[in-house]
Amino acid sequence: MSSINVKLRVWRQAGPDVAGKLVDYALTTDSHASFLEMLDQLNRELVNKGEDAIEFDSDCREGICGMCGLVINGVAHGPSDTTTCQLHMRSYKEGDTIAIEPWQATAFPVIKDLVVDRSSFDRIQAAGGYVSVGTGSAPDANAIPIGKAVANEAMDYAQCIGCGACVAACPNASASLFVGAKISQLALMPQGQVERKERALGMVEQMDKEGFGPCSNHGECEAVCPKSIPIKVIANMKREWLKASLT
Amino acid sequence: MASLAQALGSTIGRKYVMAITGLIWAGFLVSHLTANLLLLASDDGAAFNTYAYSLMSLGPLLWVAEGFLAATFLIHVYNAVKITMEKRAARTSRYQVTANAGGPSRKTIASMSMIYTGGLLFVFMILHLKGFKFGTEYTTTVDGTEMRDLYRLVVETYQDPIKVGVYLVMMVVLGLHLRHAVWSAFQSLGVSNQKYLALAEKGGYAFALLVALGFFLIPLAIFLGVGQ
Ligand code: HEM
Ligand code: FES
Repeated sequence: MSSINVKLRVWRQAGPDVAGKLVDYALTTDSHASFLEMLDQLNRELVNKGEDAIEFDSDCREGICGMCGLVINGVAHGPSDTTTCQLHMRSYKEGDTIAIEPWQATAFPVIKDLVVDRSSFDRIQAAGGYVSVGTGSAPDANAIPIGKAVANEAMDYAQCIGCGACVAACPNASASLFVGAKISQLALMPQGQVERKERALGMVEQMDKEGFGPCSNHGECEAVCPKSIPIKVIANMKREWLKASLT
Repeated sequence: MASLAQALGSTIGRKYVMAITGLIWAGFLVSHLTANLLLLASDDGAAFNTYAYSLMSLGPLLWVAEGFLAATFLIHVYNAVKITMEKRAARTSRYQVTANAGGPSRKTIASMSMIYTGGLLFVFMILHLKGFKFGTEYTTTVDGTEMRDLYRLVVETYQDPIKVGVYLVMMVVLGLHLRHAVWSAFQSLGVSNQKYLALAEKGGYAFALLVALGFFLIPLAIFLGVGQ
């Protein structure tokens, strides 16, 4: 165990329609603490002093649910290879300043402090990110033959946990990587063929309606994606959308 | 099937239009640059003027080509403004701290300044047309044919160090625009084959460098009296 002193600059915003600002805190924490444990510790100190705790999201704290998500020193999920919950204080040096901000996008309005409303992703998903087949009990393995390469590629795209880092990192606040991953994944699967066209058109239309920006191919999304989803899925989405629009 | 207007107004449709109109202009730049190389032929402009004369004698065909180029340019600019407005609306509350994520990111000064480099190119285009296409009408005779002496106009224009300077700066601006534009257009068109896209990326950077450098060197050569 070794302790580490950091200067924190945390976005505090009392509610959706009020202005927020960065507030400075000094904290002595443990270099083995996870980033979220560090925030838990800060909150304990704040509550003990009778101040309002900093609101932030998390759930699994093991990098699989997509709930956590903070912009740390200007980078979504900070220096973590995956999600914010997988970041540890050993990534920082004594005396470092760490600015912590919420995802900023019109389509992800801040609810409070670092918590944003990502239900726009749910509405995009509901606009076509599914297959309408009777599920019943699990089918026999290998009942539907799918080549290994295709299965692997679909699995790569299916790893998207919908955390929204792509939107947060995009200078245009575009949701193209998220939507591209969903469309690409299902377009590869036989089960996804029936609704293939409606899916591409529906999800893109909903993405625009929610107020996400256009894609300018900056590629920041790929760099911050905890699941390393490549911008190839965006090119796939464009083809799927064009094919569906033309026929 | 979506209506055409709907499709072209969607964020993806806009980018198809941006990419196609942009690539048309990139193609035009190549033909323009190739023709400009005739300025360095050391023949008192005979080859350059003859080429310009042959274009001008196309008559209505030239008007169609010019109209097409003008239309694609304006459509490019219109969508550039729309895209910029849409992306600003998509994030109204800005980050206090910004950084580049590195790794596979393609975010550069070039990619972040497309609307500014594009805007400068727009202004430059107007000055450029005013100075040459609608500039002084000198005449000359090549092999017994009377024709416009555009060569003289170009050479005279680029004796002025300020005009040369502005031109050189603008070619850096053009190079920056193309640096992000060319590969980006292929990504926007949906080229998802990673081998082709990698080729488009390298090719796009080389294209930007070669085209900008080519245009850059010609007025510089004229100013310095090389190839006259
Ligand atoms: C010689 C003239 C020009 C050429 C060859 C050119 C070429 C291109 C190309 C190929 C693209 C890539 C499109 C894509 O990503 O799919 C592009 C993007 C862009 N162009 Fe141009 N362009 C020119 C002039 C202009 C002008 C005059 C403007 C005016 C404002 C402009 C503004 C933009 C903007 C803002 C983008 C980026 C769009 C985005 O964010 O996605 N361009 N250009
Ligand atoms: S809390 Fe579940 S991914 Fe971080």
